[in-house]
Amino acid sequence: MREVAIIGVGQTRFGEHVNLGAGELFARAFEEAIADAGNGFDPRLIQEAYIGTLGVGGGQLGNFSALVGDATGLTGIPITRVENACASSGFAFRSAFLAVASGICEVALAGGTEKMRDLPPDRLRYWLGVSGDTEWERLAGMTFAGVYALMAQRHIHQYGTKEEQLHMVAVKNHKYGADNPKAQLQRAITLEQATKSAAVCHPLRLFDCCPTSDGAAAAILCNAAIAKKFTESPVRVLGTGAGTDRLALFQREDFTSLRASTSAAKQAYTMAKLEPKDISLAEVHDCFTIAEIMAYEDLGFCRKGEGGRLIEEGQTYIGGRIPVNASGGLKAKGHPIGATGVGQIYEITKQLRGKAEKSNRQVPNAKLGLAHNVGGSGATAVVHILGV
Amino acid sequence: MLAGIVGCGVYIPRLRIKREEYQRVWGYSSRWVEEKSVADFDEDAITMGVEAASNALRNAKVDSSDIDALYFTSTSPPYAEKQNASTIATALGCRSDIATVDITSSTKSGTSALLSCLDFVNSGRGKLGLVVASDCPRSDPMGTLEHQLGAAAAAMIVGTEQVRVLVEESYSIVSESLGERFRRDGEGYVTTIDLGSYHETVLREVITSCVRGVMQKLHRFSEDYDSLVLGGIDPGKASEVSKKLGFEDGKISLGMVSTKVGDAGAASSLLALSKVLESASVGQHVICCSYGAGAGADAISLAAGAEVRQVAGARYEDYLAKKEYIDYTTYIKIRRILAGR
Amino acid sequence: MAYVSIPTYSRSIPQRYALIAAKCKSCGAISLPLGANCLKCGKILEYESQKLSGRGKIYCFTTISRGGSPPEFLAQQNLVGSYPVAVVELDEGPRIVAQMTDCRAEDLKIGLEVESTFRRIYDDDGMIRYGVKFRPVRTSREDS
Repeated sequence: MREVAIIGVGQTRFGEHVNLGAGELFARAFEEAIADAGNGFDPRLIQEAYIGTLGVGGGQLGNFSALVGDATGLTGIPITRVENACASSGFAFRSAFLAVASGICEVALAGGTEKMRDLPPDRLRYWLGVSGDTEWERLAGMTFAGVYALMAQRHIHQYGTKEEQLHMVAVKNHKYGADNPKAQLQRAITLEQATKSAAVCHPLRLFDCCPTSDGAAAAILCNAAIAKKFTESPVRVLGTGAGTDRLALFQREDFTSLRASTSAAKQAYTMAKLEPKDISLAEVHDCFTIAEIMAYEDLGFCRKGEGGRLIEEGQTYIGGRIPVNASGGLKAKGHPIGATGVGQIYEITKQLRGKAEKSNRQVPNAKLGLAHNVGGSGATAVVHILGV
Repeated sequence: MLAGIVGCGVYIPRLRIKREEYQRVWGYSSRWVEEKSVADFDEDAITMGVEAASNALRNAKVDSSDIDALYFTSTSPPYAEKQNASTIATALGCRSDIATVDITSSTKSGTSALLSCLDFVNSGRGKLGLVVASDCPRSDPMGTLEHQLGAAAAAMIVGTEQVRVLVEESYSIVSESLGERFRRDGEGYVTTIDLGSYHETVLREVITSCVRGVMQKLHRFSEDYDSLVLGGIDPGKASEVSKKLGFEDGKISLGMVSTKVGDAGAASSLLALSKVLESASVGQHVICCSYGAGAGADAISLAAGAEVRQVAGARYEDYLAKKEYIDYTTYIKIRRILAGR
Repeated sequence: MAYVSIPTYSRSIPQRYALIAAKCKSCGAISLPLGANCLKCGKILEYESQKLSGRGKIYCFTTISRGGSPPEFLAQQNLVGSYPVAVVELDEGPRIVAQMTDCRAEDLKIGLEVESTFRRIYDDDGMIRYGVKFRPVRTSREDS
C-alpha cells in the first residue's frame, strides 16, 4: 500500500443556497479544491472520482455520477456515487484513499454534495427517514431524533449523564460556528437558551439537533510521493477505518455506544500506529448532541460513560485536552448529508495547515486530526486520521 | 338448543366525557347520559373488538386457534367493504380455515350475531364460535343524537362444551319503522328525524311483543326472570316498557349501560348482557332484548348454569372505573370532526 | 421514498397484528420482527411460529414532540400533540419498538411492566394500517 496525501480541499458554505442545485454546489467546492492545490494543478490529472450523496428529493437518484461529470468537466473518467446515508462522503473519501493507496491511480477526487432545503416539509420528512429502519422504527412513529433520544435516555440511565451536558455540546459548537464563515448557524447561544428551547424528542431539545442544509465539499488526494509537486503543505492520510452495525437501534446490544464507530476508530488508529491521546483535534459526527458525547467515548478520548464529564470540564474546547468540532460541528456548521464527511476532511486539513478561517478557531500546534463520520443512527461509520 | 355461552369479555375505552361538557358548549345535553366513553384516536370498532375478544378468550380459557367462526357486528365498521371480522381474526391469531362474518346496519345486530353464531355451532359446522360486538357510532355535533353516542365492545364465546349460560329460546320481530335512526350509504353520521312520541311508541310496542313472544314460547312470565337486559336504550323508556311487561326497576337496572357508557350501538346489548352475567348466580334466568330502529328486535332467554369466569382487572366494573375525562375540544379533535373525517 | 408498500406491510401482518415470532430451528432463539437471518446464530431463518404473550418491560422511551415525527404520523401529531414511543423488552427475549398508548408520558419509566394492545397505527394507500402498541399493564399476569 502506498502513502496518500491530500493536496487541495474546498467547501461551499453550508446552509441555504437558493439558486444553486446539487451539481452547481459541487462545482464550486471542486473549483476551490483545485485552486487550493496550488501550483497550477490541472484537473485533467484526476483519474478517479468518488462522490457521496444521499440524493435527498430524488432528483437525480440514478447515474448521479454523470451529473457530477457534467458539473465539473470530469466527464470521461470513472466516477462512482457512494451512499451510506450521512457517512456518504466519508466513505467516498475512503474509496478515493483506497484507489490511490492500491496503485490503481495517482490522483483521485473525493467529495460530496446535498440539496435539502428546496423541499416542502412533508417531502423532506420522508427523505430524512429513508436511512433508518423504515419498517419498524419509523412505523413506530420515530425519526432519527427519536432514535437518538432513546440512546440519550439510556446513556443518562446507565452513566448518570446529565441533560445539561447534552446542551453544553450545543453551546460549544455554536460558539465555534459563530466564527466560521462557512457555517450555517453563525450565532452563539447560551446554556439557558439551549435548556429552555422546545422539546423535540425528550430529552433532546431544539438546539440538540443539527439543521438541514445545502452544501458541497471536495478533496483531492494523490500518491504522497508526488504531492510536493502541487502543494507546499500536503496532509497525509495516516489511517482509515470503517464499520457497520444493525440498521435498527432496537436490535443492537448496547444503545449507549456505536459499535460501527468503535470498530472504525480501532482500525484507523491501528493503521496509523497512533492512540487517542496522540490526536490534536477531532471533527466528530454530532447530528445530535448525544452523538458527540458518545463519540468521545467510542473514539477513545475518554472512558465509557465519561463523555458528559468531558464536555462539562471543557476538555473538548480549544485549549482543552482534545478540541472537538472547532468548525462548529454538524450542529452549527450544518449537515448537508452527502457532503458532511468531506466537510470534516476540509476542516481538519485547514487546521493542520494552520489555516483555519478566523484565528480564534485555530487549534494551536495541530499535528494529527481525526474525522468521524456516521451514517444514520450508527449503521455505518468511517474514521480517518490525517497528519502533517 | 345445545350451544350456549362459554365465556364473555368486554372493553370500554378509558376516555370519558361528562354531560356537563355538552351543557357548557351547547347549553343542552342528553337527559340520561351522565357521561360516556370515547374511542381514542387510535381506536375503532375493530381495535375495541380485539380487546373484548381477547378478554373473552382469556376468561373462558379458550385458545384463539380453537375458534371455528368469528361473527363481528357494528354500526360503525371501519370498512364498509373489506371484511372487518377477518382483521379481528388475524389479530387474535385465529386459524385461517375458519368462517368469518360481518353483520352490520342496526343496533339490534348484537343479538342477531349471537343467534347466528349459535346456529353455526348448533348446525355442526364448528365447535366454538366467537361473537364480537363493537361500536363507536358518530353523528352530527349539531344534531340531537350525538351527545348520547358512546363506544364499547363485548365478545362472547359459544360452544356445546363447558357451557356456563344456557340459551333456552329466542324470538324475533321485524319492524319497518322509518326515520328513527338511520345512516345512508356513503354517509359518516347516523341521523334521526326526531319524531319523538311516534318513535317511542314503536319502540315500546316492538320490545313488548318481542319479550312477550319469547316468554310465551317457554310458557313463562316476568316473575320467572331475575333480569331483563335492555342494553343501550334510554333508561326512561326502558323503565316504561319493562313495567308494562311486569318487570320492576330492580330487574332492569343491572342490564342498563347507557348512563355511564352512552349508546354503544350494536355493542350495547351484549355489553349489558355480559355485565349481568358477570354477577349472575347459578339458576338465574335472564332475558336479553335488543332493539333496532327500522329493524325490529331479538329477545333471547338465558339461564345461568355455572359462574361466568372473569379475570380481575378486565370486568365491566373495572373498565368503568378506569377512566380519564376529556373536554369537548379534545373530544371533537379525537373524533376527527374538526378534520372532517 | 421510504414508503412501506402493501405487500411489504402484509408480509409482516402476523408479527404486527398478533406478535407471532419465529423460533429458530437451529438455536431456539426468538426473533421478532422476522429477519432473513436468526438474530442470535446468524443462520438463514428457518423457524417455528410462536405467538408471544405481549408482556414486557420498558427498556427506554422518548416523547415525540413537534418536529420529531415522520410524515405518516403528522396527522396524529396534529391531533394529539406529543406521543410516547418505547423500546420494550418482551418477556420471551426480543426487544421491539412501538408507540405507547393509554397512558401519559409522566407515568412512564424504564422497567415499567407493559402489555400489548391492538390499535390503528396509520393510514396509507387508502388502507388502515393496524398494529400493536403498548400500555402499562392493567391485568395481573397470573390470570393470563
